[in-house]
Amino acid sequence: MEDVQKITVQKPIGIYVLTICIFIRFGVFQFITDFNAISNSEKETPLLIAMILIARNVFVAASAVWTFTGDNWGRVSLLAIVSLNVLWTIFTLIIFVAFSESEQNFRLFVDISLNPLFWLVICWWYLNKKNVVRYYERNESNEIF
Amino acid sequence: MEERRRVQKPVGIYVVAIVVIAVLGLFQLYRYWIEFQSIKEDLPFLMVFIPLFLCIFTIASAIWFTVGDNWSRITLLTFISLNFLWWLYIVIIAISYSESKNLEIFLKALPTLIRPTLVLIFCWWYLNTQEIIEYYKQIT
Repeated sequence: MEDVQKITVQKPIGIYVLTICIFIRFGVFQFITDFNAISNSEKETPLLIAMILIARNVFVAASAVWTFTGDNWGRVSLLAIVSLNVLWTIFTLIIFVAFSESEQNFRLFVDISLNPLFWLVICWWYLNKKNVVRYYERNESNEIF
Repeated sequence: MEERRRVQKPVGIYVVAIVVIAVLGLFQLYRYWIEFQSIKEDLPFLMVFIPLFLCIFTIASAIWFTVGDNWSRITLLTFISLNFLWWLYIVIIAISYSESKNLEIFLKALPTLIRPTLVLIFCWWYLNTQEIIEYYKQIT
């Protein structure tokens, strides 16, 4: 008879740090920024845009909590939703820069996009580290990346 | 000694490449061309450059995918996703800021999203099947 031994993998401490940082940066801080932007905007923000802005923050916060609990699908969803979130910011900046007449466009683009891009890189790097993937896939056999 | 099973190159790789080149490459380029023609004002450089860049790089990554390693698979997934998301973003912005009725614009834009969505789902599913992952990891 084959002996199936369960391997216990210690939860990396970085998961706590990363998920809390993502929760605060994209869940709380960005929510406040977006909410202020919507309510202080001179023109009325279209409903669809307002819904997307609020939903992206709520979904990031939720998937950060899911990742925190140690579920592999939480890790995948966090990677997907943070990427979508950052892409939304970058696409908006591209549209703004493309149609703006200011000469300092490029500098503005770099200034605003650096911080979300930094967090995106950190997420993809850390959540695909071997020990982190091993921890999340301790009960699963399929791998995506 | 344990012998590793060699995975034959799946024919589906060529099917995926052809579908991506046709739908998200050439057809999407044609669609952008039609949109650019219909706009009477001058479009900013970035708004022309980004769609062209995405379509051309999607075609290039589909070609690389047929001969490349695991990175070509990841690159293809990245470019088809970016290509689709850019188009989706443009549609969302067009619907939201359009002066005519939102529902009317939405119904007009919806069919343009169906084909890229189906290709995106198909690619993400097929490129993450066990057979494809095994084949590409074996090359890498």
